Amino acid sequence: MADSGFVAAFLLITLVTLGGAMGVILSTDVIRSAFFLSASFLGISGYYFLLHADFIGAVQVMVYAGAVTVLILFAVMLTVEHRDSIWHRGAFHWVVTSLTSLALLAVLVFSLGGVAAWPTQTGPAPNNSTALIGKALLGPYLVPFEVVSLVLLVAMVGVIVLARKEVGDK
Amino acid sequence: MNQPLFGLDGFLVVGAILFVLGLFTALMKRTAVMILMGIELMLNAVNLNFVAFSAFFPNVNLHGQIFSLFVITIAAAEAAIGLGIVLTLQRNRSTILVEDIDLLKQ
Repeated sequence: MADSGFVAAFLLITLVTLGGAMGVILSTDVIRSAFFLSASFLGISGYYFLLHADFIGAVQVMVYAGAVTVLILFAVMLTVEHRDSIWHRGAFHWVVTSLTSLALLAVLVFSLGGVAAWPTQTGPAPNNSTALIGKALLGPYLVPFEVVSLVLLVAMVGVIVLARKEVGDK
Repeated sequence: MNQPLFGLDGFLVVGAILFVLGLFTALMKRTAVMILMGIELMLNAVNLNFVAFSAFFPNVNLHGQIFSLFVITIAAAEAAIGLGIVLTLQRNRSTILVEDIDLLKQ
């Protein structure tokens, strides 16, 4: 799989994804962070297309880069605090967070060294993942599929109840 | 790591870095909305791991992709409810800084 086109695409998408994540952290404006987050979501979608997961890639663009980004922007517009700078945190907070994050990263990355060799794919990647996912969702994964639609219904009703205007509101 | 860098290991390392960046966001930011953004980054990193495993293993199955589909769905529902809670917080306490929400503190 590692021909030069794949490598070039992988590096470009990594730049977009991790650059977006760094932008979320380093930006002091909440709205800019939301847009950097959206860029990161689009980068992840690029990974999915690179891995022949076209349905999940399309869903990622629609749900995350579309709906979740707009949702976050709505919430940001309706709240009062638009500046959130990490540079005003105390030294103790910085040290503890950095150590925790670096320790977790070290554990995650060095645990990959313990694997002797990953099994590699022997057949071609399927190019009809939409059809296969559809069959699986109506076959072995029917119960989780129905349950998750119930979860979405409950979430919708819950958010409407939470976010509606009370009687005495301005 | 005994595989070429941009095989499965490359995707897993990127997923790990993205997860840690999301964790850093969730821990360093003061606003509830930014913490939710960090949580979304972490969920995306996990999804990347699932889809990468699904793409690289010999018996070409899509269990990883289907799991990540469910994770996307639940994460979207959780983001909606979380932001609804943030709006209610804003309405009742006039702040969304998590350090000001300390009624249960001693």
